Amino acid sequence: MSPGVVRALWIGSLLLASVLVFGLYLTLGGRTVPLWDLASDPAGRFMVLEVRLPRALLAFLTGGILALSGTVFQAVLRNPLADPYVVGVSGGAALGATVALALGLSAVPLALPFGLALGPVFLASFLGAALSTFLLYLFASRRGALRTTHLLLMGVVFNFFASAMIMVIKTLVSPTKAQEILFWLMGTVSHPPGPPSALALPAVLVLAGLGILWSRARDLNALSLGSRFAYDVGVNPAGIRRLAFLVGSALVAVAVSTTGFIGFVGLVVPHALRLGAGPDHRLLIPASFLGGGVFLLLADLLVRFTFPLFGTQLPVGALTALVGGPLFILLLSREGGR
Amino acid sequence: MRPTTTILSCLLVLAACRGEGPASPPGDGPAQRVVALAPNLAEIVAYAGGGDRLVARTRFTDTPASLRALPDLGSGFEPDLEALAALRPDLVLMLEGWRGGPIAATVERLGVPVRYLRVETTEDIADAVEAVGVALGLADAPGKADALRAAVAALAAAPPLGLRVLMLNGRRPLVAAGPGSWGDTVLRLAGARNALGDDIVRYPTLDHETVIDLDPDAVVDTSGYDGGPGAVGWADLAGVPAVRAGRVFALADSSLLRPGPRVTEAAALLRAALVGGVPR
Amino acid sequence: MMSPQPLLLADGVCFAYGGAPVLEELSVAVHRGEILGIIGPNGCGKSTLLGVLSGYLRPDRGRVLLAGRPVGDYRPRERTRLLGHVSQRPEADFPYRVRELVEMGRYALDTPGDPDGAVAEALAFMDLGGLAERPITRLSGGELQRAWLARAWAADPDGLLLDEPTASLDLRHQVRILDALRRRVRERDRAAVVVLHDLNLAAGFCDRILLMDRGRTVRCGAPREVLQYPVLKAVYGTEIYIGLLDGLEQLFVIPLPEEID
Repeated sequence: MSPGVVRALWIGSLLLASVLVFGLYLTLGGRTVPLWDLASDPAGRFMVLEVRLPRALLAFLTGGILALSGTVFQAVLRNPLADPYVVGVSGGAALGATVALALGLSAVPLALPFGLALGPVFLASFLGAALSTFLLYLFASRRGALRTTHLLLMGVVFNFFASAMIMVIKTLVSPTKAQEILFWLMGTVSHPPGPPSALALPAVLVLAGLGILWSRARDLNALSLGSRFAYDVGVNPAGIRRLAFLVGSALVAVAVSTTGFIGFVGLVVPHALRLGAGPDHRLLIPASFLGGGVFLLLADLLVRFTFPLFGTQLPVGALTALVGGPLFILLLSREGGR
Repeated sequence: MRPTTTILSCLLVLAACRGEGPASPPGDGPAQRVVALAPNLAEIVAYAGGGDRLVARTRFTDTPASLRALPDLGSGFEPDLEALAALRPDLVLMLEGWRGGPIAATVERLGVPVRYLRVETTEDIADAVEAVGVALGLADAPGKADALRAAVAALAAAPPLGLRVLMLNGRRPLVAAGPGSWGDTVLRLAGARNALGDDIVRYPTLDHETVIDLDPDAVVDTSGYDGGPGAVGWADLAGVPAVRAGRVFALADSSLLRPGPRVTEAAALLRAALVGGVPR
Repeated sequence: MMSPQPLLLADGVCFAYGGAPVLEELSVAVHRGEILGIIGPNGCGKSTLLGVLSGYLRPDRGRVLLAGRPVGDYRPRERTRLLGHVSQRPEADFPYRVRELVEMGRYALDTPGDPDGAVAEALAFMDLGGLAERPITRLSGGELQRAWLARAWAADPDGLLLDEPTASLDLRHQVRILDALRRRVRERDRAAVVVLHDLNLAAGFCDRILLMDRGRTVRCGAPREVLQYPVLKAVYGTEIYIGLLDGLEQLFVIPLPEEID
């Protein structure tokens, strides 16, 4: 079987899985809504289209972004254990959001065209992410080229710095606000920014990012084996590294600004897929996007389903950790055993 | 002398199963320089008639307004203990839940008499008023406590509104006041029923779909967000019938969040809003 | 046998790394049809020289010309078609299969798959046929080296820069590779620059040898001119014995332990 056929089969299967999980998600809930009957069921239609669909789209997009950026950062940093948060962009996002929440800016989302409602927290968070991306790029570059070790170190430093600042802010604000900040940081997909149409623009941008990275998949393959190797096979390592870093950071910024920190998706999904489907980015990039989307969608479905069990809705980041943690350990042990 | 006092206080702690006993016996005579390390404890002291005995406050103590002029010790969780010691208080009041915690331990080591008060139910609040009255030698305190009990009883006896109400303490995420929470207490005193059943934690996190399924008759938001159904701010609950009908009430008064002597005002506020049907 | 214009020309190249000079005023020309061997003590700048020749490192002074044009002027794909390079110590962080790795050598040629069988040939030649589907993370040091070489072999550029290609290889593979390299260089009019630590391999397979010490050229020329007792003794600082294999006209160099005089 040629590699092209293998790729098509993988992507086809993941697309199918995505459709199935979407269907499950939209159907199941407090009220099971049979999807084929929507035309004659206005209450069900409302529930599916206005309540469940935006959340499903958000979960899928976020999961896809996290897994995709995890894959890309792993290639750039040449480390299969890198996750989307390691570069420090997310620290800036978290800090931006925390400042906004502390200042009480979370009140009213700004009503924008297309039914979009962008909260001030989202904007502050995105600004924080943009700022930290810029600073990271500045500090980790030399003669215009990003240096991998510096990027990793700067990322760690940024994250520590952001955590420290967030801790300071939490002690300065009221307990209610501190609780709010904590909840924001914990990560949730339960609050889509508006009706499904509000996600149209971000979805287009995310797909554009996916497209850009996918088109450079072969270059990422080369880069993942070292900048010297990349140079030797005719790829400009500085160029692809910069592109991957910027696009990856933009994606992470969007994810963190919208949903806070959801862990494990960006680590487990690329790792598992790499073990199953191989490290070739021509497959890994679309596969990790779809796989991440399915993973987070399933996790959020589980969140909704465990509500009666716990008497409250668990943060989805807790579920991804509960599932992802043991899964990751399992993967690592099987890898080492071979 | 000190070790004996500590042993004595430990025995007293063990003996006090209602959790209201003193950690260390009060000094001779009524306390004159009192520090309350929580806003609701300060309110209780003021309500009992001892407001002028308070020598300091914590950051969020804002009621009654006369207390705002007191020196600020910072957050109740991490008060400035040096400043506290410098004020030479003869009584420190702390919430029962903090007994055995690090702040409690440090304050006790300062040699200042500490008293722990549980203030979770309305009965607790009345008892606390009485206890404070004893510790501070306030003649009016028992009367005030009884007045509070009577007011609460009157509210409980009022005709029920027949409304199922969901009270939100937080908007992002949606955190509601479940059974056993203070919000729940106020709701019930206001004559309403909690839309949340009993199968739930005290402060559950909800989502849009769950609230739609709960279908409360009215939604009360104590989080302090800009409210009113017309604002974009309620878009995240657009599917809830009560929200669509405009039966949402943004009431951010601290009495709805703080177990304290203003409980009757809180309940009255809430009841008036629910009866009037006009969202604030 | 040797074309007039050199494929690669380094002219007065100086390179310093973090303030410490690594290459000083180094000039060398590499012509089609020849194998140039580079030898010298550890740390004398051999790998750095290869880095500069390939254009990966930019010299502080001097210039490097590839087929008459500055090497930095080429677009990456163009350059890769003309000049290839294989690192000294390949690192395998991700489990690409050996075949996938070798195919990466063909990226620059824009022909997906293996239409002319170059990949298959390279795999067979490096004795990797049985390992073609194995992830590179599970190869031994020598196998990894061969996989990296197979990649460059499949790419078949006009000039090849090999940094200690025989370091991890057993005798059989050492000879095979250098032998095949010599044949390819002659038959297809290629050029090769090979850093070697083994003086005998240099003597046996290189047309010219560049002996370096502390970033400078000590001597450059045919093996006989370079592999001379006083020269090598001065550079390496050890006792050696240089002999000539009768009939093969090939030099051999044997290091001697210090006690024997």
